[in-house]
Amino acid sequence: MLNFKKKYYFIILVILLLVSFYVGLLLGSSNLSIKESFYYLFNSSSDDITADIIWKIRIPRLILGVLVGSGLAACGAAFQGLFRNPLAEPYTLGISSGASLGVSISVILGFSGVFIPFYAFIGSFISVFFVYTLASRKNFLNSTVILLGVIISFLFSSIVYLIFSLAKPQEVHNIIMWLMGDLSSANNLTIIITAILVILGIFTLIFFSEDLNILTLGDEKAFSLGVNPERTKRILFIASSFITGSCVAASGIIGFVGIIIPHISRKLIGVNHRYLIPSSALIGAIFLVLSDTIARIIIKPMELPVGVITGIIGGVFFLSLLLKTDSRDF
Amino acid sequence: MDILNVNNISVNINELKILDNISFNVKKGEILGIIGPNGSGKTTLFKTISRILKPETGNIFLYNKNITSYSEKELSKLISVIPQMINVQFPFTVEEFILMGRFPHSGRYGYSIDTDYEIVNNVIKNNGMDSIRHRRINELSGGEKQRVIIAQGFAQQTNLMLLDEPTSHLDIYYQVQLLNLLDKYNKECELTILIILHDLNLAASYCDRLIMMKEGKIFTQGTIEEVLTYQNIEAVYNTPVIVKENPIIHKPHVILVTKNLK
Repeated sequence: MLNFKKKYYFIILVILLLVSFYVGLLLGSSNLSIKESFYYLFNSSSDDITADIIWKIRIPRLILGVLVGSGLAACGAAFQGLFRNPLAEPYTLGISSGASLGVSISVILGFSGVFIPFYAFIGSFISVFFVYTLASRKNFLNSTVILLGVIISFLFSSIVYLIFSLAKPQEVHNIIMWLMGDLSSANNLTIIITAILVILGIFTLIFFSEDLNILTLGDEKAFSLGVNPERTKRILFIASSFITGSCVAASGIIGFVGIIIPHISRKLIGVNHRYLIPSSALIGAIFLVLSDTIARIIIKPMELPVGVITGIIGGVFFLSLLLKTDSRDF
Repeated sequence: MDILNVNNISVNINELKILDNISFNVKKGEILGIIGPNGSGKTTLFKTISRILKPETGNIFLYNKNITSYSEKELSKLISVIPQMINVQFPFTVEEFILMGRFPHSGRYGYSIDTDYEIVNNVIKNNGMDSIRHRRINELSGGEKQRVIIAQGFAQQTNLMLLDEPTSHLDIYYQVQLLNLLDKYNKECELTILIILHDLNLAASYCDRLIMMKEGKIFTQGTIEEVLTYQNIEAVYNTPVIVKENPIIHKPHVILVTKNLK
């Protein structure tokens, strides 16, 4: 039941998301006035350079920011519930390193930009598959999963470094640019595919959110409440992996969103995944849109990769969280 | 009338025989206690009845239907299980937690205000939990937490409840309070209860019948007076005891013979 407090909470988040989207639209290498923005938004037929900036650069980029931010945060919340570990997220589970490896191999093989997301997707899926099969063989011991993620990250990064040492300087540069995480490089096709996968994935997570609540009570209790633990975990894991894979493929490695956003969200709305997952998705979208806006204007006219911004904000935030509370707390 | 028939089940775990040819029946409306030393297979028996483990041989009938023929959902509407260890890491509120007991009935499409919330409200009221309903479960004391966990089982509204040592970490106040609560639901709602207990005197006070297990087999089963004799207890637990009559409830009372008085 959505009581008044929760209803207002979600309305406020949606308003904040719209505001940050609009702020992101106004700010950039050249700022728009509010009047200009309205003119161009409602006269899409005008084809001067400002209209192009709005419709072809800023809006696709903002949409991608919303998709990737909400996807990574919702997955983080789901993974943390699934493994009952507050440190679980797409990146600590080794998924990003799989994507890096996929991209490194694609660059070495000489595939151009269009294929990079595809290889990132395949790479992240391979690492998810590794973590999942190894973890389920060990019966999903919750601390083991993070350990597995770390080991797989290490293994895959070593292979990436091996590729670096054998590759040409230009190729290494291309890989590193991708690794830093960037919302600007995606083309329309990538955005459409990402949108489909992320939206379907988040709806799957929300649909199974009460199952996820029950899974956090342990497999035995879940079983007695009519939830098949293995099957439900598999569904949630596959949905989360699709979301992560498509986010990483579209934007490269954007760290920490999957950890800090669910943490903030839990403090605000509680641990019930029925509210936690949509709330994380909304806050994640707001966070990434604002971070990307900062990345675009902080060293104007140049741009920072947004992964650098989220990494710095997230790292400092997370460190203070670790020092303040017991990291095992939710 | 029998609710549950357990027929000749044997269970192996890692090729080790944990349960060996167990047979018993559970009658409607009774409190059936299971006692026995650590490692005698009590918890394994529960896991087999709740279908987490599959028996090598034998079968289990619930309402004259093999439990393997029920779907997970159907089974969870008929049997609630309170496992020995339940570690609630996520700070759900008491209300949210008890509401999860309605999952088998409403499930993932959301809980209904008329039925599910109404039932949860009644459970909260009947168990005197109004003052804690918005508290977070991880902030509660061990005794309160255990009461909330069992309240979730009540909200599930099953006919049969399995409880694995629900009193093991509680002080005597909460032990008695919890068993009184189970007794009340047993009498008022005709809840049939199958309960593993370590405390033989609590078992004697609250159970209608007892099953005594030893090394994966049923050593003996029957009324309290038949099962709780000093000969049986000494044979199963390998500990000297004296059995007297409790002067109030006129049931056997087991007194440990501590120190080496032999």
